[in-house]
Amino acid sequence: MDRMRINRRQLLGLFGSLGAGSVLAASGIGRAVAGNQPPRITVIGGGFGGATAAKYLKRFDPSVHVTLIEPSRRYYTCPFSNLYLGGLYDFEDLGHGYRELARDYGVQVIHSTATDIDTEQRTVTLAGDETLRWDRLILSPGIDIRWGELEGYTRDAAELAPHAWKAGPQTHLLKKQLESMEDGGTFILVAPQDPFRCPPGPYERGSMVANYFKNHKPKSKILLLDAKDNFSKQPLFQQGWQENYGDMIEWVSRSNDGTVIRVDAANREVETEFGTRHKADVLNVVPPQKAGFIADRAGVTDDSGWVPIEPRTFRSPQADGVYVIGDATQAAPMPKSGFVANTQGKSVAAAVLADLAGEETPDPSWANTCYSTIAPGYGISVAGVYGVRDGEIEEFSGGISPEDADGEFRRKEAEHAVAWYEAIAQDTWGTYQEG
Amino acid sequence: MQGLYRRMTRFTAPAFTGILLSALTGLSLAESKPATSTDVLAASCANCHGTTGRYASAIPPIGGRDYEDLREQLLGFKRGERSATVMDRIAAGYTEDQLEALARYFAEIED
Repeated sequence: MDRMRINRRQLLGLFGSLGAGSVLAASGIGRAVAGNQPPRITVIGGGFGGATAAKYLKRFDPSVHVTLIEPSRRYYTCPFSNLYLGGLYDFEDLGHGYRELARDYGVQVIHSTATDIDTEQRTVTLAGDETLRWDRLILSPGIDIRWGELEGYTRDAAELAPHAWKAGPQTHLLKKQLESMEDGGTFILVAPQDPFRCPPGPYERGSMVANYFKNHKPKSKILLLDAKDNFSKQPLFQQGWQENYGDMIEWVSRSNDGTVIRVDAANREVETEFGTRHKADVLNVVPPQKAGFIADRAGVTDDSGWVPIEPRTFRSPQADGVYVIGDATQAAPMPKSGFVANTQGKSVAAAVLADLAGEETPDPSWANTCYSTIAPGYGISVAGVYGVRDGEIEEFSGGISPEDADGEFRRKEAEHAVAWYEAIAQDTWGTYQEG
Repeated sequence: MQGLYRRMTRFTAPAFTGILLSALTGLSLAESKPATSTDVLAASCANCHGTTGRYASAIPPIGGRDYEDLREQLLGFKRGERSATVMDRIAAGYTEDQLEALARYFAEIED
């Protein structure tokens, strides 16, 4: 870590004392830009998509110059943050660093925030106004909240009724509220319409809160108010809820007036489409979302707020030399999951390198396996394999765990969930050691 | 049950770095050529099995295993002849040629 800090200080020092243009030619990075130097690929966002893209660019071709821009020195994942809420996982076990990328793969990791992108000049501006040049840009910007789209749900409201849909302070806030709640209270989770990050996430969260209640506040209730009539792995969740928690969890579909249209965070009250008011002791709102803001700055989003991409390459049709991956993209039928973002990071790395070499893009292939933990030792999954057929992204195979599986099968999937989390943390950030 | 959610030791010691680097670079960094379709296919397996397929956990490692053994298992999953939790659902999405290429790819990874 020390070495990385010094590098960054030196880098920022140079940017501070010289103009942005001249620094590129004067510093060590500059040598890579001038003359016949290797192409510069900049990746923005160090989550599942971006960190993987940076690593696999260097695995596939160590000769390219790769810069990863990520504000956090330690990145906390949304996957498994529900297990933290449920009391099964420590928060620190959700944190991952950038040591492997920097030291073992030679990725230049800059811990700063990208504030603007100029696709004409091919530059990215960092907080503090430093500017970096790129030949190809990969954005893995994740999601941002559409504040105010759900009436009453503003940034301030989220301090009272957390979303906890980005792991960090919001997750701690929700955990603290659950811990302060008295036994016999009501936890309400508001689930949004599609599309949103992590389709099974709200239902795993309900399960893990139930696990916490079962152990600490057994008289409490859970109400899931949904703007949809069906959800990911629905029969498995409903079966698992009944087996593990009896009638503690109630799910209200859109047709049964589950759609919340107004939030009163100060009173922890919500109002539904047909005027029903529900009062919570802990209110968790999973709000409407859009692509992370840097995608807007790059001009790659459309009216939906998400990013259209060319299926084979994940290149933006709206900006030359810009590629976008992860939750921010419109890549259905692939879900917005960390697993998918990781596999898109790999295919985009191959596509960018082929583009720079003037070669044809290798056939893309993506996969997904999303585990959800319903209770300790009780796991379920949805899997999918995806590719491009006739110019469109298609699911080639997949499905959810069998509905009639026995306890042993559920136990194995709970174990595989933990094993998967460690393996993808190894693959993305090098957190664990292989072999 | 208690052990399931207890974390294993994380990779933090700088001393491991050299070992890890040589292990990781052995396969693909040495050959500086554009990624092939098989590289892209195989990269999806890393999410559960580790970057070189050798992550040891409740999910079995696949890197450095016998080609025939891997091939037989993958084809068995695809054809529904082998029971699995998730690999049957995944293997069904690949052609037999692709599964054979994957078996070869992971068999060629050195221990």
